Amino acid sequence: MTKPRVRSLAIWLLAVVMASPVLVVAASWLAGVSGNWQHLLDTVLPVYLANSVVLALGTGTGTLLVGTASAWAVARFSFPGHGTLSWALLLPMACPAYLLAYTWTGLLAPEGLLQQALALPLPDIRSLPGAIAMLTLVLYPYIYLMARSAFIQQSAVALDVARSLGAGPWRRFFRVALPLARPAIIAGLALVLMETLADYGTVQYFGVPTLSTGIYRTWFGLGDINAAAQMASALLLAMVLLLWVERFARQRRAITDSFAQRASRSVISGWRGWAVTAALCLPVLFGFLLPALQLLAWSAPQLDSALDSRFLGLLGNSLLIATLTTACAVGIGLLLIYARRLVPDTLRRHATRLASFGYAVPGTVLAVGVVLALGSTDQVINDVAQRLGLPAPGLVFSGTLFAVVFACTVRFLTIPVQGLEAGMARLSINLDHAGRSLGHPPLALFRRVHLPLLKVPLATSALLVFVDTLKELPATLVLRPFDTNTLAVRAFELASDERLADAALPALAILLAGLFPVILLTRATLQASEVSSAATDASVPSHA
Amino acid sequence: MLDIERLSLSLEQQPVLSGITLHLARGDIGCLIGPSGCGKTTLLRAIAGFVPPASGQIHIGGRPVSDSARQVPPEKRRVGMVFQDIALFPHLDVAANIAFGISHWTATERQQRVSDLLKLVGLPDMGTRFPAQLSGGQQQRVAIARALAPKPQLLLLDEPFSALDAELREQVSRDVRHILKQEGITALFVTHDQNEAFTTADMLGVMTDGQLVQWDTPYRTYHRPANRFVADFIGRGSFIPGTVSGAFSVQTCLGEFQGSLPAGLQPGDRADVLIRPDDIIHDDDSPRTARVVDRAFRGAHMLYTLELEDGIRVPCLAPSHHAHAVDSRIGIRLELEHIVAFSRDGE
Repeated sequence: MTKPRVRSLAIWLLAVVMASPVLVVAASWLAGVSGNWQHLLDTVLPVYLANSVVLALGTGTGTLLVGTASAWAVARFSFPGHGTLSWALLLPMACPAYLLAYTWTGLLAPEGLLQQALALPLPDIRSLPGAIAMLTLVLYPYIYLMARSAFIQQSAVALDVARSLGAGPWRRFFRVALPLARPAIIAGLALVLMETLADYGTVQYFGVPTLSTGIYRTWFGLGDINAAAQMASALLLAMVLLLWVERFARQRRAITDSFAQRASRSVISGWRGWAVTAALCLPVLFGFLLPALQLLAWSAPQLDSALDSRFLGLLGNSLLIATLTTACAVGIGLLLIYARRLVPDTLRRHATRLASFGYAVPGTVLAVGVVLALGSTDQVINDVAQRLGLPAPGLVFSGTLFAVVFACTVRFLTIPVQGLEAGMARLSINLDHAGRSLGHPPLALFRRVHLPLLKVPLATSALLVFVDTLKELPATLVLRPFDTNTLAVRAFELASDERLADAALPALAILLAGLFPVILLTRATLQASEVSSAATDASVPSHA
Repeated sequence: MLDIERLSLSLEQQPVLSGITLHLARGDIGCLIGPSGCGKTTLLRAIAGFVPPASGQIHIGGRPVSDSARQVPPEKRRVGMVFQDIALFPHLDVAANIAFGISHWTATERQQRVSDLLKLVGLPDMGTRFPAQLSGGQQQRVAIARALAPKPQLLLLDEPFSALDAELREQVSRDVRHILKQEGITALFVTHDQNEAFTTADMLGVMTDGQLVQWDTPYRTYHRPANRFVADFIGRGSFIPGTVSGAFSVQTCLGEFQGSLPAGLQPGDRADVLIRPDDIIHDDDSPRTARVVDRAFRGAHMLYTLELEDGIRVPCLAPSHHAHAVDSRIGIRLELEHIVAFSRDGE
């Protein structure tokens, strides 16, 4: 009995460390309210708030429309280019919103490609609607991914029954398919809204002040990190709400998983088919192809300088941070989920919740929390070293890459946790019991049964963490050691200085690096769909 | 081989098992039966080591595996397990599934064992198939081969045939009994299907509300039920009221029956006598008649529900060519080899 206790304690300790930036931000209210608050309330705070709300509403609506419609089309119909589009629709994930923002600024500029070609009065993209458009284009894949798998997993029977009762295709969609997929879609939407509220680069670049950018303004403009932390906690509150919605939706998602018979796709031929193809090409075109072409056009003249050491340094830093973060997040995620599988008590369940809360924490909020948490840790270490008469180690945590990797791990830990949680839930507990009774202790069982069966969620979550870390801007911007630049930070700095063309090379590199995982994801889902569908088919839900 | 003494267990502060005691001899097949929620699956899981008991002891092959001092983890109990949802490893082929528990054997031993077991369960050429490519019955046989591979001391089967359809269930359960007997395996399984229990088990345990109310041969649980619950739960039957008329006799509306009575019953006490469908013989020549209330065609047999005087209803199994319409009166005769009676008040 004591061994699991000790392990539970260790799990809790890990969870508290992962949650420390959040706890520190929440604890900022203990220090009292500074005089800056009245000033903020009188001036900028209402504007921040209004902009954030409009941004969330607009992006939510946009991603819902694009994500659900494209998922439905891909899951249920065959049309020209179906195979290509089913993965191409994920491409915009490779492009962070702030890159899209500055590329579109260039595309729509008076001397830009589009303006020249169309000779139309194009709208000013550097506005709130512009930011909504940018965020919609990069975030709809979240809903697309969730909704598509929900639609694919829906039983053919439910749709056939609706059909036999005389429901046409629209009615089948709105009355059967959509309600069945709603939990998955809402879960995706909650993620989109969290990303939207967390966005820093796009709104900062477009000059739209939101809560997210307001935190840095308060921190660096007013020099009041405590007021910044307090403002951050307001944003956190909104995130907690969304996280709760997402959790709730996810719990209800299980209803679609038990059906074995999958519906087949119906063919749309002729001009209708091509119309669907064209419509589905639009998000890929605007969210990926056009910006990528523009970036290529900008960077072509400087390709000879691509291999200079400065650029390779940026690339190396980015890949290093992304790889380390992925390893940490996936490793810790596996640990937490497997610990819960072994002893599914409330203690461990709460520990997992606590540890994976970081996703609710926008990069700007996280940066404040990490600086506060790691800064005081470093202080303690240096004090201890001084007392022991040792040379002061300096800012070992807050002043090194550790801070960036830690921040990104905290922020993205929920991806593997939720992915693996869902994957694990799909495996009958009797697989564990069978393995144990066949002489395999927990670790061997994990290696021989869970690991191979969790390949898909592992690959998926590793990919998502990797891409997200590469694209991560606000936390890296503040937390990186002062001589260390990443592709994202450099691209953002150059773009902010209106050196759009110079920013193109690092931006293109982010895009390309982000592409590899998208391809991997596509492959992994294709290959593993056989194994995972076999797994779901073989495990009839237990009634015992 | 399996000895359980006064085992009690709670899950989330709810008592699930209390005071379970049972002994299963080497090579015997035991079966636990009871209504859902009676704790039979939990008992199996406790024996396998997946849930720790609150008190009591479990010995497997004479070795203590669970008592107040220690809990041997499941992987060290040498207990094979077969599950309701089959739970084959979907990422491994049939041969790898079977070899899962003997990965520490040498390659040749392992291959030999796998091919022996595949032959034993009648799937000699299926080694390279994946579970998803097999039928339900085949999967269940692979699951049994997998559980048998490490030569466990005890095999536990949790409603192993409930995922199969009715005809297949009978076939597979007979095959499994044959395999277990051939290999001399001691096994304990859980079911809610009486036919399955009767055809497979040497010893039958009837459970209700976390208690083992009778642990006996199937024959005795049917003919000598320990209490009214067992009498009701095992087999068909109904009770007719009577009055104890002597030390060994009960007077009922169907006449006086002789036999041993439960302790404590005094002449004059009211008692209920158990009537099984096969106790009532349909006999057209019998002067005693009863009204047909309902009938169910069972192929070789017709199961009648008859109404006696006072509205008492009893079942009657008759050859199916004796077709009588509902509401007609048919002649019956009683053939009670022994009497099963319980006090009407209390118990």
